[in-house]
This record gives sequence, structure tokens and C-alpha cells, in this order.
Amino acid sequence: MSNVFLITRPNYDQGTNYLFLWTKSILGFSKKRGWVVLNLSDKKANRKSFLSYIKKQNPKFIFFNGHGSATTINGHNGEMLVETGKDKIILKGKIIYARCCEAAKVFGRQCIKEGVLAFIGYKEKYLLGYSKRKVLKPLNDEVAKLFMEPSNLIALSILKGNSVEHAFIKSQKQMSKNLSFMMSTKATYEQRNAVQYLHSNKMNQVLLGDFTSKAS
Amino acid sequence: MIKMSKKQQVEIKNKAINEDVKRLVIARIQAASKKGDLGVIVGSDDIKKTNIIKSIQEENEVGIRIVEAHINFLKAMASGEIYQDE
Repeated sequence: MSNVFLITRPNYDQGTNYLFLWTKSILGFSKKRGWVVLNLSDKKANRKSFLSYIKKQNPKFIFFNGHGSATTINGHNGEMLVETGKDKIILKGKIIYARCCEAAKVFGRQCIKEGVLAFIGYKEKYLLGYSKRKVLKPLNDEVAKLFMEPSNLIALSILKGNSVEHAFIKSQKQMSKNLSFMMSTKATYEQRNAVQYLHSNKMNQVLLGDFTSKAS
Repeated sequence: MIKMSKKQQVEIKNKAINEDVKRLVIARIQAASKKGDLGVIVGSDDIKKTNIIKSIQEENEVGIRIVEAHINFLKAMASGEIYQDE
């Protein structure tokens, strides 16, 4: 049986537009690696579709992108997808990566208590530095790239079959590398001035649950 | 002369530190945005320079998050922690 991977990609404001576009490469990568990909993009990133996919296809790995809070993860137009205490059974046995604000604070911890194998997320609001000149071409944004690539590494590494610990360490190392670059003279003015925001994401990225968990 | 309790003295000292921290972070943001076109998205808010400064002055959720990011980065620089993971 093929491994199933579910990704949410709401796209309704500047922040979600960046995440939406920067996750495009992950779709291609996962398909190449033989994953069955459940792509909940734009309007499809709603609670009804999410619950239906979870029940029918039972994905092993879920990658949430978008806005959230300490207790919820949201989809398109801020619609709640999952909430602490409300969706106990459906997430059991899964690996979750939430690129959403504060999700690791309460939601992630509760997930682990309720049987989620591993949870990677952020304790505080996710910060994204970007170049205002590139808002129409986010994939050419050399500031956002320094934020997006290391956080994408978590998903790519898990999809490759690595443990969540390996994925987490890889992402942390890439952020350290990017921080060094941003403090160097090679960085542009904008990249240098965004350094504290990437450092903050690095400090707030956490791994919870069984560190040895693998999705495939 | 009015004598202050120890608690009051600590409160005043902390407040002064907070004001200094706020001034420091605002100065960093103003200096950084003199040229260039850096934008920052804080959660669901895409913040302009003037709004960041207002948020810091008001000490709202976004302002506190920005101040924390700047101060923790400066502390990591001062302690050398930021260079340890390279």
C-alpha cells in the first residue's frame, strides 16, 4: 500500500500566498518519491474536505501551512481545520508538521497526549521576512528564501523516509547556516536586517513526541 | 521624602528597562528601514514600519513578539551562542 501524504495550502493573503507558492516544489517531490498526495489547496483547504480525506485516505504524514493559534490550525479564509480537544481520534498515529503560528504551544502538546506520533511546529508566531519588491514573484524573493527553504526541509526530509529527529536537526542546521550568511557581507541589506526574525523562528521551532518516528 | 518599598523599586527599575528596550528596538527598526525594502509578516499580519513601531509602543501581541525577536538575537550575539551551531 502506498504512503499517503496530506498537505494544506490555503491562499488568501500575502502570508499564505508565500506558503502556497513555496510548497509547490514539495508536491512535485512527494509524487516523484511515490507518495499519494492529498493536496488541499485554496478553497479546498476547508474543514469538511480535511475531515473527509483523513477518514477515507488515512494519511501518515500531515503538513499544515497557514495561520493558527495556540489551540487551532486554520485553512482557507481562516476557517478552523482542527482544534485542541475537538479532533482527538482522527490525528492518532500520524506525524504532523505545522508551519503555523503558535501551534506547538498547546495544540501540539495535546496531540502527543492523544496519540500523535510526532509533532513539529512553532511555539510563537511564525515570522517571515520578505522583499517588498518581490511580492508579485515570491519564488524569486531572496529574503523569503532564507526562511522558506529551511522550514521546507522538515517536510522534504520526512518524505524521504528520514526520522522526525533527522528532519528537525537538518532544518535547524540550515537555519544556522542561513543566519551566518545573513550576518556576512555577502548578504543584501534586506537579508541582513531580517536576521533576528529567522533566529527567532529557529528558537521557537520544536519537536514533540517520538523522535524516532518515520512516515515511511 | 517618600520612601519606596523594595517591590516598588523593582517595578520602577523593570519599567525603565522596558522603556530602554523599546527605544533600542525602535531605533534598530528605524535604522534598518532607512533604505531597502524589507517587509515582515507576523502571523496573519503584514506589518509596515510605522505599524511595527506603534505595536511596540502599545506593547500589543505583535509588538512584544518583535521586541522578543530583536532582544533574543542580541543576547545570542553577545553570548556567542549564535556562532556555536555553525
